[in-house]
Amino acid sequence: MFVRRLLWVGVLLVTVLACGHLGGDDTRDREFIDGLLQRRLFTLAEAYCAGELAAGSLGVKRRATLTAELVRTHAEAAVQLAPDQRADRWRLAHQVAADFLATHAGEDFAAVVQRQDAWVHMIRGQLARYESETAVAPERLRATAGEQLRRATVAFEQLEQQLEQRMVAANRQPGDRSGTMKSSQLRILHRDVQRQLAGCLLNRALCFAAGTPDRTSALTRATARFEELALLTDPVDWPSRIGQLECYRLAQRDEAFQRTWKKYLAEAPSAVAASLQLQLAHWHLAQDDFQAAWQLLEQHPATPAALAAEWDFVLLQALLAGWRGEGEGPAADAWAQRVTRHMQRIQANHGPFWLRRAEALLGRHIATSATVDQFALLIRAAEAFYRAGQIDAALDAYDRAQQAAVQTSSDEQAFQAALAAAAIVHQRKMHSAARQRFATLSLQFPNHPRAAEAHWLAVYNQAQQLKEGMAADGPEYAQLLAEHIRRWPQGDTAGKARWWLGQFHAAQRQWDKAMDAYQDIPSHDPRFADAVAAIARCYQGWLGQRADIDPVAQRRLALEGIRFFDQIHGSDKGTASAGASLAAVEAARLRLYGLGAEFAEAARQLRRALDQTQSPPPAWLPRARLYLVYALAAQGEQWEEAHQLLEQVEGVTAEDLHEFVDALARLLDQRRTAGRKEIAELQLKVLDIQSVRAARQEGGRSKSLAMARAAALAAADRREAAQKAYEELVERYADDGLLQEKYAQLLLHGRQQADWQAALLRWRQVQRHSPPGSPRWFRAKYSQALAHQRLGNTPQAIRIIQLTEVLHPQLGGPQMKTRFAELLQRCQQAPSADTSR
Amino acid sequence: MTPMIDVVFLLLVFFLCTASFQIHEQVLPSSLQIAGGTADRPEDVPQQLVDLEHVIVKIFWQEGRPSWEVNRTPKASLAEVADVLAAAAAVQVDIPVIVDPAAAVPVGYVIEVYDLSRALGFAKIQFAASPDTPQT
Repeated sequence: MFVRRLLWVGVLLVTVLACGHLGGDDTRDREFIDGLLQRRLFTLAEAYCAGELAAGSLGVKRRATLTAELVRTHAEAAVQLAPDQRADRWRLAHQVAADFLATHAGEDFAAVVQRQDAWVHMIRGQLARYESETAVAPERLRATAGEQLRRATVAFEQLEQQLEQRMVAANRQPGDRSGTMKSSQLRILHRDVQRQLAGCLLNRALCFAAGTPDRTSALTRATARFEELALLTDPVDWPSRIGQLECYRLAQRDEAFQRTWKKYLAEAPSAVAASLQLQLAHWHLAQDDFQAAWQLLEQHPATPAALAAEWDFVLLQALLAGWRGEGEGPAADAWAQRVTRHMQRIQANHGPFWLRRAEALLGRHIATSATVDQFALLIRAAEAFYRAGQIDAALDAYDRAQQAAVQTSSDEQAFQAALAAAAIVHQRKMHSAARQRFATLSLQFPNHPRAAEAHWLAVYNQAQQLKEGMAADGPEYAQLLAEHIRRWPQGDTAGKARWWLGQFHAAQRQWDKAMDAYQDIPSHDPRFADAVAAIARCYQGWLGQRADIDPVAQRRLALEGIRFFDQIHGSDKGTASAGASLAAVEAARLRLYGLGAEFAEAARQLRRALDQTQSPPPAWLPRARLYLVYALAAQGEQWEEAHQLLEQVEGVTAEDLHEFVDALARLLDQRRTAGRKEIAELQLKVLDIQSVRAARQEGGRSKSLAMARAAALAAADRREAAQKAYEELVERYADDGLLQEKYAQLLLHGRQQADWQAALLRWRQVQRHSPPGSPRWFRAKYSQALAHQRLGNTPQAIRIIQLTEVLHPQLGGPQMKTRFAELLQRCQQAPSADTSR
Repeated sequence: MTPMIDVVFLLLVFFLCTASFQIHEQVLPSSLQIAGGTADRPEDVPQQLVDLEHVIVKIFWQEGRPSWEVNRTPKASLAEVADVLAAAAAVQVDIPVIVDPAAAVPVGYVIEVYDLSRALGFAKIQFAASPDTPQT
């Protein structure tokens, strides 16, 4: 007997344990996920659900439960994110539900996932409604809220009908079947769906303004559903009873609210009492009785964790109402302190979602109250406005925060507030306003570590204004840059400011000011080499401006530039830096082309630079070699070395090539006998080098290069080639007077009668196309006389000279007059043919 | 008695033998020179004149007084113009002289220059006209 009883106890024990084990998985999952979501550990919750779902041996019930929890995890995670980051989470939530429903359509437990999917739509709608209350453009958010809540409502209604049908079917066929829900489970789910449906209707009502027919209609439907659910007693549906009270409050049915509230309070367990107190607090606030609401919430015992966030949010509403009621004065400051502490509490305890709602609420209060001067609150409100896209309100709040900080002598806070406001304006590319803000900020706090950075942003915005064509801001831009350099000469941005200032002045062709700015860039600055090159360009521009106007000033300028570049190059010992190498080349260039003297010194400097420079900047090497060739040619010595250097020239730019050829042509013009042929040979060589042929095609100066080549052939005494080159040129460019003149000169310097005859005809053409009395016209008359003299027609030559002198006594200037006189004398002394010039 | 018809014929013969025309009118140039141009084609110009510049005398009229320019060189008086013309004539007397008066210049001053040129021996004296003036 005893053994039989023991056996029965053992069987009972095993049975109880087995049932507990079999029925416990879902509850444990839900509780576990709840705990993770409360702590906002969304990744862990997601990983847990996905890991469990990946196991192939799950029953459909547990699979449905885990899927629903995964959907809830995605939705909860989305709620905590900023509005522009939520899309992926919403998509995942719906995708998970859709995947499950696709593979388990028609099964009972699919209803669990359907319910969860509809709930996600409801949450989305609710969230959009919350955010529409403080948005700049609430219409779009209200439309989203309406659309999501409508979908949720339709889904819940469909699910409600499906569940009712299944409940009927389950009643007809009682008994547990694998994969199907029991009648009790169906009933629980059905009730939940009805509750959610009533909640959807309540949320849809709140999407409409108070007093509108749409709101009244939705509220009435929600009230009816909640009242029906509130009548249930097994078990009591407390969420629906809370919902019922909320509907009474929103519908302003105060008597019904009071009566029902008292009744429910008497019956409610302690876990529900807090929710009822919360509803009463809402009711007090609706009655503008913030004191009662505040006392109720502040002094009530500890609330359940699930309600804590909403409790604190409603308390914040009461505190703000109390603050607003006090206006100004010590009492208002006390309320402000309470609000500040409470905001910190919400931030510490309730996560980003509730913090954003709280800040939005605070922002609305601050926007409507001009007397708020608490720095922390103003900053919070400014951030809330910025996130909501209310930029003007955000800027206003930041400005007020700055003033509040200044009043309390908190420079750091004032700076940060002003910087944030300026950064917003800068981000929105409002350059004029941004410049003003940054400039004012940096000058107001010149000793702040970030003052230089703020001032630099003012400079940047001013530059953007210039770039957009607001030319009137040019002088202000230069002043701003100069101010930046003056105030923070050693700062990180000082070098860049000097560079920009130099570029500005160079663009205005204010060469001296540009050079002053560039010269201040220290040698250790990464822009030093560029600055040296820029200074060289300034000298070129300046010298070009003064050419033929003021030779003395031009010479002085060239000497000044040489001294400057020598100083840079000379200060480098051993291996030359990029800047020093550039300086050496530019100093040589000024000597050779600007001054037209000190050729030996230029050659020495270039040789030293070529030996010392390890990593020359691009285009530096061919340029340095070309200058050295010129220096040797100008000295009239070391022709072999010059030829060798030319053969090493590679990668020369078109600009450098043209400059070199022009310089050699000028040198050729200056030389009458010594070195003339050698210079011409150099010029021909540089034009024929393979590596420079590409550069010849660039820059649209092929004509001038061809003319230089023809002149070089003539100077090198290759008459036939020169004549052929000129014939081709005059045929192509018949209108070019200079070309015609050069060709006629070549013919006149021939050795045969046919040349002189041809020269005479050419000079007649030149004369005909030249304005009478112009320098070319006088040269043409002189050359005609000379041609006649060489052809033996001395009397005609004399007549030409005499008549020209009679009609144009100045004879084109002292130099031409002398030439005419000398030719006349020769003609009168020796009337026979004379080939001397 | 001598018949009247005889007397008439006698008088007619007498007048025919004694009549003479003004030479200057025969040799007055009738072709007009376009200002800045040349009436002669290049192949018609004698060889010694090809490279010799024409003398161009411009006459202006300002504030009731004339002013002169010879080959773009201003001259203060007709005497200076005469000096230049004389020097040019000494070099080559058969180079063309072109007289280019402004529209407001009285004809008398134009004839002065013309007479001066003739007196110095220039034979080819032409008057300039604008390109729009049709040539006669």
